[in-house]
Amino acid sequence: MASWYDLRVFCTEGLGGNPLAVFTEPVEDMRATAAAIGYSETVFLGGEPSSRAGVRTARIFTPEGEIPFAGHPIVGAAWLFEELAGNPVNRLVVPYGEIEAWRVGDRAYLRSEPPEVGGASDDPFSVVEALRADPADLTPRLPIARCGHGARWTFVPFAEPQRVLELEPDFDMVKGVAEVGLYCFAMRGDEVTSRCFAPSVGIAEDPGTGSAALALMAYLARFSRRSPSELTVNQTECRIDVSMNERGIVIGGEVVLDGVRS
Amino acid sequence: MLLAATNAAGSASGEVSRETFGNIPYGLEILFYVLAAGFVGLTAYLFTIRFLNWKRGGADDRSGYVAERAREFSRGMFMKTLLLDKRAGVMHSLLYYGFMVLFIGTITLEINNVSPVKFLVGNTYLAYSFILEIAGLALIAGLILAAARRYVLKPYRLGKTSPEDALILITLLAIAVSGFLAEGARIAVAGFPNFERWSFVGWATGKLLFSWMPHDGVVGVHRALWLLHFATFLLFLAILPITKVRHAITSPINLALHKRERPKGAMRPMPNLMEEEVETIGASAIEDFTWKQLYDTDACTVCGRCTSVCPANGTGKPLDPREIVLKVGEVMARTGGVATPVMVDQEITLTADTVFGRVSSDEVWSCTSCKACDENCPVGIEILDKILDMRRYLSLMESDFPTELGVAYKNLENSSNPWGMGQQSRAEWAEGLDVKVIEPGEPLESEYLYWVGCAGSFDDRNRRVARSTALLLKHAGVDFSILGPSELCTGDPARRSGNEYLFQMLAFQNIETLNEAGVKKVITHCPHCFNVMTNEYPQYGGEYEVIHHSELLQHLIDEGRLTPGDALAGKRIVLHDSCYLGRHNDIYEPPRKVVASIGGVQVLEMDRNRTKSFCCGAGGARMWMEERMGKKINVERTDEALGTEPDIIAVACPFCLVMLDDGAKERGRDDVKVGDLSMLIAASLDTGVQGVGLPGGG
Repeated sequence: MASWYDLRVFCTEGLGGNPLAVFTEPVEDMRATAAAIGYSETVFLGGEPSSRAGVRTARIFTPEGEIPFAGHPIVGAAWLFEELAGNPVNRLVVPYGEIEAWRVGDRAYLRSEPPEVGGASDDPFSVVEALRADPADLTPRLPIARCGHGARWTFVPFAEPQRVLELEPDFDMVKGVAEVGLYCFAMRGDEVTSRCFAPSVGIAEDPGTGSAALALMAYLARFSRRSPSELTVNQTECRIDVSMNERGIVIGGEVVLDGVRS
Repeated sequence: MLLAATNAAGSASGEVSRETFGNIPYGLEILFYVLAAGFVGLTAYLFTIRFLNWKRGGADDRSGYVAERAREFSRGMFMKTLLLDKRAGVMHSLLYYGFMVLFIGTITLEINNVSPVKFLVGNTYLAYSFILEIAGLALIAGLILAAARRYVLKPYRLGKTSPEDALILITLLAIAVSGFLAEGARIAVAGFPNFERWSFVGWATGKLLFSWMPHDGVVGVHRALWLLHFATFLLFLAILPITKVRHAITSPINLALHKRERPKGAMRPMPNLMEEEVETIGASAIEDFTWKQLYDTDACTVCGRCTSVCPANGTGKPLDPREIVLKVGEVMARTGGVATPVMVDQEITLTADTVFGRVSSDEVWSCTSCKACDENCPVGIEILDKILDMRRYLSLMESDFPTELGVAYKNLENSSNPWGMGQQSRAEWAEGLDVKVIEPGEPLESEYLYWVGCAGSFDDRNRRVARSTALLLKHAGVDFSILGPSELCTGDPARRSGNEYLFQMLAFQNIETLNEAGVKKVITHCPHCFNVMTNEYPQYGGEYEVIHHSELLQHLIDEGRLTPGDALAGKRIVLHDSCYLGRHNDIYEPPRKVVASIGGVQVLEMDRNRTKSFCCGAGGARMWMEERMGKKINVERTDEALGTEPDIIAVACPFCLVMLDDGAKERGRDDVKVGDLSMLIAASLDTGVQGVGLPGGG
């Protein structure tokens, strides 16, 4: 196997984070390689697709196969570019499209236009049943709704952060009700406590889901009365910064390089 | 013309000239000299009384800066400061230059009279005559304009009009008119010799009024008019020291004395109160003021420019800076004992033998210490110093201060910051930004110390300023550390509210911390911290090179180390000047350059900008007092800013940020963002870093 960079994305002062494998050299069977490493995502970087400086291509694989867009691989890749070459990247071209991404200090960020909210409606009862939760634990202020780029996450709003932390879902049932996965969250001011269950794409629980944090901002902008412009998402051992302005939604966080493996 | 007379036939030799005291009997000539000498003596005596009053004040060293003082004096003599207001400047220039030329012309005439060699002959005499005619007309024109301003147009700032104003205008007008009349009679007595056509006003007056008279009659009329003209001048000499017209002498001298031995932004130093016992603090009795503060009151022209730019006065508070000057002057006069000057308003009653017999504490506490009064005074009166010295007295000798201020004092004493937050949380704003914090006892290893200030450390809106500044400094590769919990309030709110003890307590601790850590260069985003550290810490052994972040950001942008982005392109940004950056430290352009460096933005100005900028209302510890009277100053300023239809109001001071943001919220204008310079640059880069840039996005 070619050598790869072992990163953790969305850390808190060097700790925690969502593991990420990054290959900078061409790899024959990307799907098998990603499955062999077994991280929630592995990213394969290509060369510059055009003469434009700072633009690189990237393909993202879960253990199950390729996906068009994901948050933490793009953030990690943008961070790594500057780490390796001191050569900042401005944009990454993924199958979903061209994404603006950059590094600031020990953090990296990506920007995206807000994804569309809504569409297919979920059956709240089966969602709650799959999570093995008490329906009374959900907040009545926000709906269960789907949102995301390409594949859409199902957002399940809880009233108390503690209830989110205590969830023990029935993963077989989750597979049945979610398009991609269930994103369960509760808010305290601008602080979000969340967990993300995505067994249908081979990840029982994702430690830090950038694309869902991004979609959460769009979801809140649509449904929350006090739509915040900045969020701090605490998902298991990950911490994701989310902000929104006229130019789009930005997610990002601290990245740590643990070493080069092969 | 002035005091001039000549005999009927021109000079004895028939030359083109005139004989001084022509047609004036010898007895009258003697009377002229006796009375002139007597009145000059009276004027001197009346000025001496005032001088003795000025001497009642304490020491104030104004002996240095001789070249600057000479320059300021000449600026005063040549109306430079006055012409800052064009209309008033033109009016006053006509009046002043007209009078001065006539006065010098009369003295020239007397010199010619006593000189063995006569020089006012031939063409020189004709030119002399002509120039004096022009000067006389200028004086009359100036007087008409002055009367029109005072009695017809009544611009807001002139405010009160007293009989004194009429007395001065009438005296001057009488001098000018009687001069022309006497001249006309003189020319008539001389039989209208052709060369006197150069004295065209006098010629015309003579033709119009006296040409029909028999010669004997004209001789008598001329003598009467000459006496009248002389009498009006004696009247002028008498009112010169006892009315505000004395400013003709006192104001240029006051401008010369204006340059201080301490920086503009520094308050009067006080001895180290931790070590020395002092009997009284601040100013209450006339003897508590300095001689310069007393002299100031006699240099006032009552023009009202100070009042017209005062944010407290403009929003209906009881403070009127002009009244502060006049009231100190009145109290000085009324408590002067044997040296009580003449023409003091007898209606004034003092409730005490101190300045507080005339000045209420509400007036003193309304001041935001914005220094607009001082900066706009055309004669260099130092008004703010007086108010702050009165505050020192009220705060420490009388404990007469707004109750809310007591809370801030308690917080400063117990928590070392006016918010009363725990010192341990001082560095929390920097979370996630990887900022170096100096541990107590450790030396500073970075090039700069970033002095964050209490607002940047504890106030939610201002933490964004500190975070934005820190991010930009790191972005530009500036090597800096912060003190974190060992940084205390600089003491500005304590000092500006008169609590010198509390100020010194905090200042000495900070200076000790800074000196121990070997700090040389300090960056701060707070103009109040900047002012105290730059201008006042040197009074107590703290010498640092302090740079405000507006200057540093401009420098970094100029050097190409920081390139603002274009995320704010198309926005309309209006800049609000901070008093403590602008008027207290003359930093006006760096904030403007920083805002203008942002890609694609349109920079707007309010009508009141730079030296005339209108305070946000938080200076002078007003941040910690309730505003119970009149319109809120911050709302007044926010309304002015909103009048330019901005998307963003840019500020360079933590207190301005809070005040104008509150103002925008009070007006329900959530669409208009208020942001510090660092927030704007960070927002233009749209970094995605939390708690940086403008709240609610770009």
